[in-house]
Amino acid sequence: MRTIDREHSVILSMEDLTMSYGGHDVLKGINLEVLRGQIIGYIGPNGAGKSTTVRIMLGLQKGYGGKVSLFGEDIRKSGVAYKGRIGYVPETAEVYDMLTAREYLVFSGGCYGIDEKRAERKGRLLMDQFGLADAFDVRLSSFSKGMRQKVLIISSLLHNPDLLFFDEPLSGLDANSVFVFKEILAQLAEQGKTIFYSSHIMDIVEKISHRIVLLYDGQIAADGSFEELKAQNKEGTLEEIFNQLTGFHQHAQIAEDFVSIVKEV
Amino acid sequence: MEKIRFLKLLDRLRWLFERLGVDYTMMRKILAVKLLMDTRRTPVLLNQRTRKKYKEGNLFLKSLWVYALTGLFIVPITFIGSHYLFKMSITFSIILFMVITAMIADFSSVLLDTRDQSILRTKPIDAKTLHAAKTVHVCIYLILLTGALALPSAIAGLLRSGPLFLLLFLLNLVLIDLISISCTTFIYLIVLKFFDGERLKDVINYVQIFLSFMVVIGYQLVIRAFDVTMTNITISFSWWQLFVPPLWFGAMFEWMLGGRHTATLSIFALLGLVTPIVLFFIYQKFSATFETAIAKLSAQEGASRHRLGRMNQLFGNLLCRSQEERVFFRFASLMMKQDRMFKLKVYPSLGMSFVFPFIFLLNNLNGSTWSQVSKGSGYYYVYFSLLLIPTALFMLKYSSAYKGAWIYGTTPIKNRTAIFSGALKACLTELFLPVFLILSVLFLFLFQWRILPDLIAVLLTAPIFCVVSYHFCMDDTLPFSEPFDSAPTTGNYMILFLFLIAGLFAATHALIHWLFPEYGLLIYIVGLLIANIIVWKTALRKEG
Repeated sequence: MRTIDREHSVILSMEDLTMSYGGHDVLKGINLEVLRGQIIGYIGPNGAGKSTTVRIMLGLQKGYGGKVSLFGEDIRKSGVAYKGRIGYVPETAEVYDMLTAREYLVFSGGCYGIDEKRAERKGRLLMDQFGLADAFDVRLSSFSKGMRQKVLIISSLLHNPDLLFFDEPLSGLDANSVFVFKEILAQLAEQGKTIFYSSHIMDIVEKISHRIVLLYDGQIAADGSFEELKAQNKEGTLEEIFNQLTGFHQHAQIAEDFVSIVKEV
Repeated sequence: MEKIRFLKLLDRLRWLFERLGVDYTMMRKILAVKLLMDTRRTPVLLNQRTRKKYKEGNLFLKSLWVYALTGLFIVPITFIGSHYLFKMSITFSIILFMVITAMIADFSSVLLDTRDQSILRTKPIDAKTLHAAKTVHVCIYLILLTGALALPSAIAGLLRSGPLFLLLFLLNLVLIDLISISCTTFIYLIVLKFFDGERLKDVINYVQIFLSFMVVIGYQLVIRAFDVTMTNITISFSWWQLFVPPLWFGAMFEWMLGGRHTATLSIFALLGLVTPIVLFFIYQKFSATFETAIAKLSAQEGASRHRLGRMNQLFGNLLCRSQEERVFFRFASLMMKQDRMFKLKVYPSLGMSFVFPFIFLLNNLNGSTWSQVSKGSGYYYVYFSLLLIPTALFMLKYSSAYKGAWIYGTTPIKNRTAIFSGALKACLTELFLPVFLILSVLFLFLFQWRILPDLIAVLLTAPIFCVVSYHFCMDDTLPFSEPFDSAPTTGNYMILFLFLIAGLFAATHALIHWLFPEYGLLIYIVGLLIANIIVWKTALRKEG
């Protein structure tokens, strides 16, 4: 018999989270509680405050209002140790690209306290799974975007974290790799890992997420499973729901104008 | 391997770092990776046409010999008389100058690296440890640099003044490094506190430019503190000298080795000892604040405020013959205005080109009045404004956005010459012309209208000199197509050689003026005009 103690299964919580840059409010009071083993599709238009919230949770952004707790501890007080349980794939896909994949993975693992041999072995095995065994000793600067993205994904998982922040992790990946990755996500969640998945590609978010959180203008505009959102909004796809909730209807008109301007020259 | 040796040495200081609250094992890991990356700062060949073989290795270590060579030039100073205050102040100003310049231009990127934010700060590494890693990283280079720079003087001093000299000298070098690193960081910290977004990057850029410019002026202050005549050197102390660090270190030598123990000297010497240490402790206290503040740098907000004015359009239409060339003229003008790294590397020399003529005029002023000067031939110093051209051209092929260079390849450019000639013309109008015009106006006030023909001659020399410099400074590499990483850090002797050529132009000008005072200059101007037409028509042509 399994009793789920709610106190322990809340991995992440935000209370009245606010943030402003130079008089401009980016986050206007966000309240969110995320349970263990959930895949959260974290969506919203550009500038809605998605990356700001992720940056706050990773401790990169100071000066916010409200309270953020990860693994039950206020991150203002808990030091940096909690970051050891997080894996992160940044949207900017920054890496030290003068390093080879092996060097980068060993270093990255080392930062999480994994010893060199183990990080190397694990890194090699994971690279092999992604079909990159030959590129293990090649510098990242000569990797294609998709290959680099795979290395980033591996480096975010090397230390077997409990919470994952994926910001547009699929960019540049080919269709087969996307297929594999989606399956990986599902299995990771089954093992009790919590995944924060940010993306602009709505049909993937729609398919993989247990719960969708839509951020619009610094506030949560929608929160629920895809079925719940569909019932509330009477729209067929997440893309349409997204358009509706963010008040965007002019796509046909804009497209028409755009093409007519292109034709002009 | 080099890096292992550094790290082995560092291991002995482990206790110190742990005392300061730094996670040593983590710091060592970060450092090892950073040093490894430095050995790979070689460009991934973008330009397949020039198949140069880049050797792997730390570019900085390879440029150390240039510093050592510069160090050799300082040696004679240690042999001037026994006036320690004077000779050591001068020596230390040169060293401080070199160290701060390198700190700002080459090592600031280590401190302000935003990549560390998303790669390292997201891992369980505390800000203090990260900052310690950066500091040690910079320190390793600073120590090597000062070492190379000071080694010749140290040996000479040891032979001439004994082991006490050497000890004191080494101590002072450490203090100089401490001052340079903590001061630059403080200034960055202040700027990071007060500005945001794009504005912040601009301000940092201006501060860097201003700083590198100030060290040159500061250097002049040191010299001015002394009243040098042939027989003896005296110093007249005044309050502002308390803020000139090289004097502190010079005073220390005078106190210890020269045996003069006056109150003023003691204050100076004490300042030299205490300030760097205090600064460094404050620096250490603020390390976490600094790392957090850097996060601001990666935020992207705000529109760029740099626009091209009407003037640029006018010059573009005036100077460029084809539409294609005009496009590249505008493109190069924009790139030079927008690229902060480019500005950082080039603008200080812009400032110097502007200030040098006046510094030399002031030096000439010694003993004579302004009216005497205005009758003289000091206006030849206007030729100093040419000196910024080689520096700018040398940097022209680099850009922070070098990856954008694919556009040269995919667009149907008919005439590759236009890319280069457009960029050169932009260089002349955007960088050289403003400096030259301001100088000219000031000089016209000083020397009256009689020098107008001379100024015109200089103005006409500039484009020719530009083409000459182009041949020496730039290979076939397209403008803005290589990363700054691949630029050699210091000491380009080609630039020195071009300075000589600029001098040659000035000499020719003076000679003609002297031989044919009547019409010589006029003929020279006409000659320059014709030369310009020929040179710009023929010398830039590219095949294919």
